[in-house]
Amino acid sequence: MEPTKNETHAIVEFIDVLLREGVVVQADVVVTVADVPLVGISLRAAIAGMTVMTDYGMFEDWDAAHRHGEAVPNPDR
Amino acid sequence: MTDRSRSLNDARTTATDDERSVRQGRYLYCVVETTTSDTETLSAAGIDGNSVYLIEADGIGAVVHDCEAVYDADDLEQVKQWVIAHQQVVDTASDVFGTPLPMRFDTVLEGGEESVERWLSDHREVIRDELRSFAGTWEYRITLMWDPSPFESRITEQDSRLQELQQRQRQAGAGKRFLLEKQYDKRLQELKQGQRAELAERLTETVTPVVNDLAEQESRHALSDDTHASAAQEQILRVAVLADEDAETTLGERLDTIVEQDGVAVRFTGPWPPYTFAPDIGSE
Repeated sequence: MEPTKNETHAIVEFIDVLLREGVVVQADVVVTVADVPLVGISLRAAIAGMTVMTDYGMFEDWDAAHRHGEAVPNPDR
Repeated sequence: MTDRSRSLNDARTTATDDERSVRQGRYLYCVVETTTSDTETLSAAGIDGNSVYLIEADGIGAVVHDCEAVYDADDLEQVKQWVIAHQQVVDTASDVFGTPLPMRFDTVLEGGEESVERWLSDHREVIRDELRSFAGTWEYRITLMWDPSPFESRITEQDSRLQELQQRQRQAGAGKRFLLEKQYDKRLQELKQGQRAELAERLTETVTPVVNDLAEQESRHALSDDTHASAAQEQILRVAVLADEDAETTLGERLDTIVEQDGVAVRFTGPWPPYTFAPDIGSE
């Protein structure tokens, strides 16, 4: 099987991942950091009830953009 | 190198509450190694259509846009658009510069370009080491789903204990039958639990030889995505793995061998930047 990025479950997953994972930067100049995750919590609450997302046209845009992206050779390879 | 004529007022839909507003904010998508590409610029539309550009210092670059506030909203639709826009920018940066260090959504630095440059310089060694260790690798996420009904039908016929309990139920009186039914259910649950553990172990054993790292994820239903899972399917295990991009095909082939078992389905997503495996920067 091949990995997907465009199916509903993959999109739901990366939204979840983006709000929970990723590099947390701790510095004086950072406005939002992990130990003050107020924004993340609020956003997570907002999407907690998310169900069908394919109704929205933006996923077709996302799909098209991603496929286009795949065609670009990775310059460091 | 980039459109320096951009204005700060393009964070048009962000909240204006005092506590959310930031001074010369730079929304940080990811950090990349700029020496991997001849391109020194990056042009993309980011969150809310903001112009995305690169702030570079000593061979590493921060992918940013200018913002006047952090991103928060009660509007579900709005949040989804932001997150998708964020990921698209990270994908674009990945295409140009290779595997980035991806920031968590809504990471905003204050103090303009100088502040970002200083931050890059201060953490240059760590950032560069991390970028190099992740170069050419991607995160994949694998969810093992299981519909237990084929297993149940099979085991009901094969397990001698279940057979025996069934036999005795047919011959028993009402009170005794109730107890036997209890025992039957308990036995079936035990067998199913054993099968779950075995499937989880099989997945781990199947992928481990071809990945660099594996992190078991909190087993839960991520954001109630019931659209593709049939009601009968339960989630057995979620893992994030870090794999060389060359290993992607092999990984997929290995997952195919698991799916051939009865009732088992696998969700395989990626390639993602190493969200799960990337370290935090600046925490001691």
